[in-house]
Amino acid sequence: MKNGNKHPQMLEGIEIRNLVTVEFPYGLPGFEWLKRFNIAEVKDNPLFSLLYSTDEPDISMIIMKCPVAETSEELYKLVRKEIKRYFGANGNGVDIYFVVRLEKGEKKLIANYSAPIVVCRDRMVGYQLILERDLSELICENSNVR
Amino acid sequence: MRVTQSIITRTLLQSLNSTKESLREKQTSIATGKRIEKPSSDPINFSKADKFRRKIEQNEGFLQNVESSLGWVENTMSIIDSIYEKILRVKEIAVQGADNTLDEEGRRILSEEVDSIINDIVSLGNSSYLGKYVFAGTSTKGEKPFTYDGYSVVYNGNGEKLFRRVGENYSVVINVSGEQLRATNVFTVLTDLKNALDNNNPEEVADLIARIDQVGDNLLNLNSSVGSIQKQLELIKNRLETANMNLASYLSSAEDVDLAEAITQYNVEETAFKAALSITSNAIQLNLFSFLE
Repeated sequence: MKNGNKHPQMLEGIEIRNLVTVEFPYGLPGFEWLKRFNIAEVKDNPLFSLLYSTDEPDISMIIMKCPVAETSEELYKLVRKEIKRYFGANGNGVDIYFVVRLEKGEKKLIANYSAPIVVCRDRMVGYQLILERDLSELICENSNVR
Repeated sequence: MRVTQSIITRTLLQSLNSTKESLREKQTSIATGKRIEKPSSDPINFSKADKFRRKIEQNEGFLQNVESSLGWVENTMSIIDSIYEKILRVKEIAVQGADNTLDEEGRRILSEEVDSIINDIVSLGNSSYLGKYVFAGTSTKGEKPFTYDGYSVVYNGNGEKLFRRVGENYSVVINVSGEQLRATNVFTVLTDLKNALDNNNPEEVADLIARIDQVGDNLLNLNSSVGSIQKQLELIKNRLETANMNLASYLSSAEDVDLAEAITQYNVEETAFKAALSITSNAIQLNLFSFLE
């Protein structure tokens, strides 16, 4: 597990619990030319992490780990087909994240539930899937978040 | 060097102006919620953020093209569906017309209905979407693509493709030309059926039933090819929306000011400004009398 040396300014003064480097063979929509990103898990904050490019660290996005346990068969069924297409596996050992946007003016947190970022933990390879279905309803049902 | 009163006043005023400027920037930052207000405040990040803001705007433009293309494609599918429904009725007519027990008058009435259906289908073929003929190829604003003179249907459009730009280097064909609609044989088979009914020829009518079925299949195939375009456009739409969400997420982390931090800094600088103001005021108030003191 090789980590980049440069970090975004945003992480200054923030304690990092775990830092992993993930290859994104197709980049991410909007940033297709960037193929390698770090995921910085923040200490004492199990929900939010920072995803940033190792080549251009100021290109960063706040991501939210899928709040649904891996036991949610329904969720995995939905993304499994796509995961299988990319990883050739049945979807085990995959972390799911959603890109989050903060609207400070309106104090809103907006997550993109129709384009999860899936990361295969064994191979440290990731893809942002573009699903036809928005997963928000399913996530709310399974995580008791309303 | 002698430090004159004017030097003190000028220096204090300059210092005061610079504090004021810094304070104004903080106020703007808090009011707009954006860290990068103008190029000089952080030129590298400003330029990068600006580039991605333009990228979002460009994607919004492509999204508008995708939305209007989807409207066009959905309209096309709906027209082809309506034509297909007419063909189902035409088949019923053909089955009735092929019945040997039906007399000439009965077939004449059926022929009139077929004639009316041909007119309806020609009307559907002349449908427009946002002021443009759907089946005219690229001559979307000229004469009506189809005309019917009671004997045959003539196509006046062309077989050109309509392209819509939906990405930086990516365009999608969104139209089905009248040529393609004509290639389903819908007009030929219907006019043949009308003639067979006019000629009171039940055998010829019976022979046409299989061809009518084939027209139905051709229309379904045509609609499924339009369905593929629709699917492709929806994928592009989702991808553009995801790209914009990612870009907006990046911009929100790059531009949104940390309010708590900004307000704290604002308070510190406000105090400095007030202090500077107070000192300057004292300095400027020095007059000849106080100078003599």
